[in-house]
Formats: sequence, C-alpha cells, structure tokens
Amino acid sequence: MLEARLGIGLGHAVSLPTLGLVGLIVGFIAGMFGMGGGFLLTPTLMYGFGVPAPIAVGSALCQTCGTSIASFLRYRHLKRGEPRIDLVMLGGSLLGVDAGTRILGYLNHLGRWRIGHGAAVPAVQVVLDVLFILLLSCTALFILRDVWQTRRQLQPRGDVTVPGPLVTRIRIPPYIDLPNVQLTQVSVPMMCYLGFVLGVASGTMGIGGGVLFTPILMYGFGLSARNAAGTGILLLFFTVALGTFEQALHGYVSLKLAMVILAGSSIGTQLGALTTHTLPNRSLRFILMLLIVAVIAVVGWNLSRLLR
Amino acid sequence: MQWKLIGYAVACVVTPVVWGLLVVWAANRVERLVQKRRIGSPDAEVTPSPPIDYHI
Repeated sequence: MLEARLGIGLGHAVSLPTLGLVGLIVGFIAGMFGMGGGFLLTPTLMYGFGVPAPIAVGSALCQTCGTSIASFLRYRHLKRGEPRIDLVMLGGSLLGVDAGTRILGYLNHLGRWRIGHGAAVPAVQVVLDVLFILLLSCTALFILRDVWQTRRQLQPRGDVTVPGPLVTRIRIPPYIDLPNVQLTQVSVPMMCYLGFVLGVASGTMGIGGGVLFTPILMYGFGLSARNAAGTGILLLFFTVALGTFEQALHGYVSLKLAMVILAGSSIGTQLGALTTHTLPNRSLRFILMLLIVAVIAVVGWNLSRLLR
Repeated sequence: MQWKLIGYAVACVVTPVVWGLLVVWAANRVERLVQKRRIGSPDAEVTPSPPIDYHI
C-alpha cells in the first residue's frame, strides 16, 4: 500500500510510509546530536532500499537543503559562531562540491570491478564504502578521545576557544583574525583548502556537516561545540544547495525520494531536539560514537559481502 | 543543456528549502501558541526557544 516507483534506476517499488519512517528515525537521531544525518541516510538508502549509490548521495544532499535552512534560521538570531570562517571557506567549498560531483560521475561511469575471485561489483559502491569507513573511523576516534579527555571535567568550558593544532601549527600567510571566536592570525590558505576538502566530501558522499566540519572546527580550530555549530551552518547550506543542483544536473537526485524523507525527518528533528535537554552532553557524544561505530560495522559488513 | 533539466535541478534546491522555511514557520507558530497558553495572556511577551544544540 502507498508504494511508488521512484525510477532513478531502482527497479522495484518503494513503500512511501517506510521511507517517511526512515526519515523520522534519521531526523530524530540528527536532532538528538545536532547534525544533518547524511552519514546515516546515505548508507541506509544504499543498503536498506537498494538505491544506487549516486542517487543515494544526491537525494541525501537534497533533503539536507531543507534541514540546513531550518537550522540556519534557528541559529541566526543567537549570533553564535564566526561568519568569517564560512565566507573564507565558501569559495574553496563550492569548487570542492563541483570536484566531488565530477568524481562521483567518474566513479559511476567506471562500471564494475572484479576484485580477486569474487563477482564484479560497482566501482562507485566500493570506493564510497571505503571512504565512509575511513572518515567515520576518524570521527569516532576523535569523539572517543574527547570523551576520554573530558571524563573528569564536571563543567563544560562554555564558549571559550582553546586554539587547536590547525591554528597554532599551520603558519601559511596571509592571516585573518576571527574576533567572534577569540582567534588571531589564522592561515587563510589553510581555511580555503579545508573548504575544498569539505566540498569534495559533500559532493562525493552526501555528507559534510555533522561528522566532518563540526569536529574539524572543534578539534582542529578549538571552537566550543555551540560556536562550531553556529559557524558551520551557513557554509553547510550553500555547499549542499550547490551540491544538490549539480547532482540534479547529472540526474543523481530523486526529488520524490528526498521530499518523503524530509517530511519524516522534519518531525523527527523536533522530537530528537527535546532529548538534548534531558541527556548530559558527554553521554550524547558517547552514544553518537557508538552509533558511528554501528554504521561503520554495517558498511564494512556490506563491503565484505560485495567482495566475497 | 536542456531547460527541463535545469528547471528540475532548480526545483531540487528550491522545494526542500521552501519546506524547511514552512517547518520553521510552523514550529515558531506552535511555540508562540504554547507560550501564550502557558502565560495565560494573549499579549504576553514571547521569548524565542533555544535552537537545536550541536553536541559533537
């Protein structure tokens, strides 16, 4: 009942209520941890519904357009974060999205690889799985290290910035001061290249905000969690908007799929956000790390199944 | 490039953005109603609710 054929290379019909439920669950988790949920959505669409990898990436980006504009508007009045970081990174990020989309198209046209004695597998799927595992492993390790280091701190450090290694160790001129987050002499080329890398990740994997940019701002720049979130939202919105446009031009976006998921995730995000007031910050980070490890395990299991 | 394809690409960006704006508008309306009910006066001052906190 209420099944629809989405086209997009998906041979079978998909239950719309099930997709909406997936959106609700992803939105709930995203709202709970304050992120877009792309890292959960892309693998779920690929492995749960058999959506081809490029369509899963494009549609996940498309639904993030809706969630990121909502988050941006909710954060705007608080004036948290440093918009200069977004503006400096924007150029590199937009170039990166273009590069990421082209990489995805190239991988999609590579066809199938025969690895060892196993069956031929889609090249794009193998590369995306490996990238997911590497990226999510790094994020999980950083969160674990942070949870371990702060285990004896009873009070959070508020909005105080403790300059991180990207600020103190990379000294490539010209520099920029970021007064809103108490940072001085931050390398502009480093920020531009970082924006490019983030853009490539968004264009290739349909992710970028929660599991990549926010940890970089927190652990690389030393920003507080709130300032990191307020900073990333503007860049995230422009990156996913351009990413969606480019992916749609390549035929990698299913608007129907994205909108059904977005409808569910809009409700889920509001419900998930309510839990942030009841659970302590450190527990939330620990749960998030377990969730990321679970996603790594699922992606790893599917990759091994593909290669068998 | 075909205009139909460009139109579809624009729709893929605009439609979720419009949906996001609608959700924010609806959420703000609901919060305002709840605040007014709680305070008991229709002219009471409305304070904005905290946004979704980021935790990683």
